[in-house]
Amino acid sequence: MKTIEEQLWDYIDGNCNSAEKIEVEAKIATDLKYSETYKELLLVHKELGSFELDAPSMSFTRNVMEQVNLELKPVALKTKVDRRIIYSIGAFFIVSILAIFGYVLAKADLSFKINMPQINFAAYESKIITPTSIKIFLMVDLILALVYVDSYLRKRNMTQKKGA
Amino acid sequence: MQEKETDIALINAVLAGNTNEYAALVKRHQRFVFTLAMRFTKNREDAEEVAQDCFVKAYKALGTFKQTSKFSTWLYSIVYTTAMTFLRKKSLDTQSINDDENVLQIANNNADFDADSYEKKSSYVYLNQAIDLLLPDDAAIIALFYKGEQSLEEIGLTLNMAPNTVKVKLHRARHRLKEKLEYLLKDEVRELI
Repeated sequence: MKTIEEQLWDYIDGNCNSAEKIEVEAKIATDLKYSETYKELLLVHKELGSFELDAPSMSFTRNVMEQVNLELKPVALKTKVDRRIIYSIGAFFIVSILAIFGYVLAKADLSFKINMPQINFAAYESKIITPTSIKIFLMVDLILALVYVDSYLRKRNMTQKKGA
Repeated sequence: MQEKETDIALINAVLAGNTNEYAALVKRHQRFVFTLAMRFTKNREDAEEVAQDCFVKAYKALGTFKQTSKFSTWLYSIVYTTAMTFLRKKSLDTQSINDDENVLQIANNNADFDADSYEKKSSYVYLNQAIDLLLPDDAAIIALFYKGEQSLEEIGLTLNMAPNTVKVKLHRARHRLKEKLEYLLKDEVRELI
């Protein structure tokens, strides 16, 4: 939230948008306090705009030039680069890279063969599938089936009760 | 715009080897550079030393001036850094620039005002003395804004601050100046009203 002074300084400096400008102008026209503050600030603004700059001594420029003449002449730090040189350097590297790539391709043996791993399941079959493991497997299946039947019957009972 | 072109033309002439053209640049900007230096050093001798140093530094670095901004903005940023370095060398309390204590310090200085004696002085002298009582940064911002024809963005570049910070500082500086000028200009304000 801007204070009255901040609003007025923005108006005086020309930093207001058109809506703010209209608003401030309306307040200056209608609000006495606003109008008085505006006149005070305007006076300060005019005073600040009218003050004279201080002048250095008469020999100022001469003194500066005497010191300046002792220094090296300044040189513009603009590098003059011929684009053709840049392009030729670029072209040299591109050609070199392509040549190396072509040479490598030409010398490389591109034939290859994939050896798939072979697994002998028969060797493990007798170790994994034993009478005990089959019994355990069937037991687990039985338990899972009983759990499923139990949950199914519970759900059906619930729906029948709700329907009644 | 015309002045900017002329500045750049002079700079190009200096860079081309015609170093005497630099005197024209110095003459054009010396009063403002000196005034700005005065805002920091608070006395003529030191301000003259700082201002001369600035022009020599600007001459040596002229080749690095990119000509994308105004020469004056670039030159004033040199003034700011040179003045700050000078103040540090003189072991002045530069920390106080951003301290709230300065408000008190200024208030104390304000108490030194003698209304009767100031009534006798011209408003110009009074205004200059009132500006001298501001913080160096605030005084520099006032000078740059009113006499350096610098925008808030350009002042921000010169003082290495965000434009919004410059705006806040400018408001604050003018508020303090208004307080100091208020009782002297009170009658004039009444006449206006």
